[in-house]
Amino acid sequence: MSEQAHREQASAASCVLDGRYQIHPDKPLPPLDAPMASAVVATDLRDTGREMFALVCRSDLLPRIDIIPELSRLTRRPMITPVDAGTVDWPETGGRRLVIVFDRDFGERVCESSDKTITPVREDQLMRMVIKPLAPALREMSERYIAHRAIRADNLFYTDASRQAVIFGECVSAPPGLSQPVMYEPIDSAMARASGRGMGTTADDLYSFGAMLAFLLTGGETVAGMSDEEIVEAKIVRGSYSALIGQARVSLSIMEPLRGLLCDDVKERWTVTDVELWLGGRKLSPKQPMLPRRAARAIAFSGKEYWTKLSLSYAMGLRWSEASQLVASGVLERWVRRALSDDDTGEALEGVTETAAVLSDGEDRLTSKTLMVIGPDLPLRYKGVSARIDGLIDAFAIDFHDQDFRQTFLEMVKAKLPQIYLQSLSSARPDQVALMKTFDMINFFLDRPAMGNGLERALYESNPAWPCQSPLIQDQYVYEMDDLLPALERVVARGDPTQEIVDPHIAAFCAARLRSISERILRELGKHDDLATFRLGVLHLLAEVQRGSGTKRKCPALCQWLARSVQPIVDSYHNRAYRVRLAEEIGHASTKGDIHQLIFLLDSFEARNQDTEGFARAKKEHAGHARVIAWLQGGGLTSPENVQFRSQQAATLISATVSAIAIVTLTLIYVI
Amino acid sequence: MARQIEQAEPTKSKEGGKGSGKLIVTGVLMLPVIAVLMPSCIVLAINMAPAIVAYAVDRTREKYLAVTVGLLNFCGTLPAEVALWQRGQTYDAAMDIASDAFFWLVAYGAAALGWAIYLMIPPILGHYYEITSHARLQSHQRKQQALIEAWGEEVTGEITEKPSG
Repeated sequence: MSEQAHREQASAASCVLDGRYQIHPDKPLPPLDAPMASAVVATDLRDTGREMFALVCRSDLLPRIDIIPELSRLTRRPMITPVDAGTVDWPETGGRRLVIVFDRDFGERVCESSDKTITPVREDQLMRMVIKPLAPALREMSERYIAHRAIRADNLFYTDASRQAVIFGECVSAPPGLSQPVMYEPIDSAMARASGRGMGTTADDLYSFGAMLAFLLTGGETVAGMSDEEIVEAKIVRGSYSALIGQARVSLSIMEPLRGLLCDDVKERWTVTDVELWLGGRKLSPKQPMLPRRAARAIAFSGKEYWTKLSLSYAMGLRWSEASQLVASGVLERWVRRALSDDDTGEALEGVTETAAVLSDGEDRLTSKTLMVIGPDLPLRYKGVSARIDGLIDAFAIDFHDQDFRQTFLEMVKAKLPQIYLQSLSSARPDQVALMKTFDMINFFLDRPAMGNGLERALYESNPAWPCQSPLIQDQYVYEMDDLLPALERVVARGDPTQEIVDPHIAAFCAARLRSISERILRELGKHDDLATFRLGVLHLLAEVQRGSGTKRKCPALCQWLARSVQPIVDSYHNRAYRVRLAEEIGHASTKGDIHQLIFLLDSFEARNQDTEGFARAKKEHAGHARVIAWLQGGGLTSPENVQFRSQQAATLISATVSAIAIVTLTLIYVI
Repeated sequence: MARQIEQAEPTKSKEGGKGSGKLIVTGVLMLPVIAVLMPSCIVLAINMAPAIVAYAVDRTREKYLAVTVGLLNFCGTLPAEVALWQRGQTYDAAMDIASDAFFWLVAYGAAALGWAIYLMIPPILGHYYEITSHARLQSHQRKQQALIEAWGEEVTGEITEKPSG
């Protein structure tokens, strides 16, 4: 077998998901690409005749892997449902990628893009091909509390080559709502940035369904050439139905579901039951659009005139500096009171201004709070950021690498704007308390910038399944603790990393996922100026990961790298002979791949104590010798004074001795 | 401060008084002995003249020179005293002995030996200390080097210790 064949075989072997689904990176399927994932051919190794494809997800995003098991059970519903998902080795980059495997048992995409116009679908076709087949899927997802959040015309596929019915495309390859064009989103979601639309609900799905029907009916002509801002403005001013249907002729029978589904008031919007009743033959008069109250006179803002609070609020959110000037001028409050005769809002604006004066709020905070008053239940807006309140946490993760967004997000959280927003809502959300806690928790970690806390910890605590964004292992797609050590093992095996093996992302990722990571370890990691303590912290952290992940897998390459990196810890012992012995023992232990062995050797309390005490004794002894040497060198013995003094003593002693001998001798002579 | 000085001065005069009192008491007690042993005292005083001179010239507090010379001088006086006692301890005998050159030679020779010892010891001891000092210096330096080899330069205290892990 040639070397090329060997390499291909090895590459193929590594790209197998769960030992069953073979992924073929070299066989792309562009027609099945998703906005945030690319499609490649996949094969079921147990049934090679089964046609399959896999979506290869982006490494900086978290697909909706939490709903994959639930969706996998919906195999008989008109929807492309995932079969399996997981990470596989990716030979192109040498890292790992998250792939989602699907059956390829459907026809072509209905339309290539929502930006392009298509041939309008006739109403009877729409009824037969789209509404009837798809209604059960909406029911099923609604009952399982799953929002699809990717319902759009370009994510619709024919069931087969006969083109008699359609099915929903997949909805798991990207965070919810991220890939949705503005026309498919309700007004509040459309006002939010794509990453900040939140999980969404079935009501959002039903709106998107209505928007999709409108697109198919009109062929996309109504919104063709319009910018996102123009589409949202049209929805606000004319209502979503009028904005999306435009001048198109629609029969009364199809107008009823369209008006119901595209109702801008979420409480009045059709539910799945309404769709089913309508399909079952119930006929009601179409809902009339509920447009916002129009003022007696317009307010000028940024060179345009605005007649409603909602349209003004949207415009102010887009033009922040001008909005701040308008808020500071006081014109807004007067307009609300006089032109809109809305004293409640006027009083609320007055209250916000007075509170801002007392609290010394900055103008940006005041503007944001003003927007909460004139546009209640709209997304939270601050400077260039606009997001639904639950979507703000998603946006924090999705746009984490966007420096400007991150800075704005930090300012928002520090100013406690999310908490103020939640308190200002007209009706309480079921997740209000949980969201409050989450934002408080983010604030808590932002106040602690040390490694293992800070911005990164806030990211992983608020987004519990988000993959680790460490530059070291970003291509390894680590979203579970079990994957972390193998990923580091691969990184080390590829060659010595030029940076520390534990960076702020990895430390925060571990601290958020593993409760056994103690404050002591994080304190050790925070000591960058003390390399020995820092490296000991790295060892403690990775040892906890090895123990906590439950994997019995050893990591010899990582251990050997760690053994080389712990020289500062070895050097922190004073006794040279112990250092040499310790280095030898570490070298031996590292080959076993057990990080605990290294900890056992390097962090022995007894050894450390003995070394410290021994060093203190030696230091004292050395100082004693130094004192004697200094005394001797200073003439302690040989100085004339000392010699004279000692000589006098010696002379006296000799004299006394000689005298004593003489007396004894004389006595003996005279006595004898 | 003034009060302390005032208190100290009476103490000093009290001590001085006590010392002279002792001397007086000793003198009074010795008077009968001197009276009885007057010939011996005369011989002793004549032969111990070098010791008295040494005491006079010795400015040290401990009076090492006086002791060194005095002890040997005293030994040299003993033959004269014994001879006196053998002759009945009379004034005549004391005069004879005091004029005998032999006893002078013995007493003054012994005193000279004391002087010689006192003058010769310093250069000898100085040389001895030179040798000892060098040996001890080397020994301590060796021990210091051994400590540095075992514990590193930090043990000298001149290098900042690395923080321990």
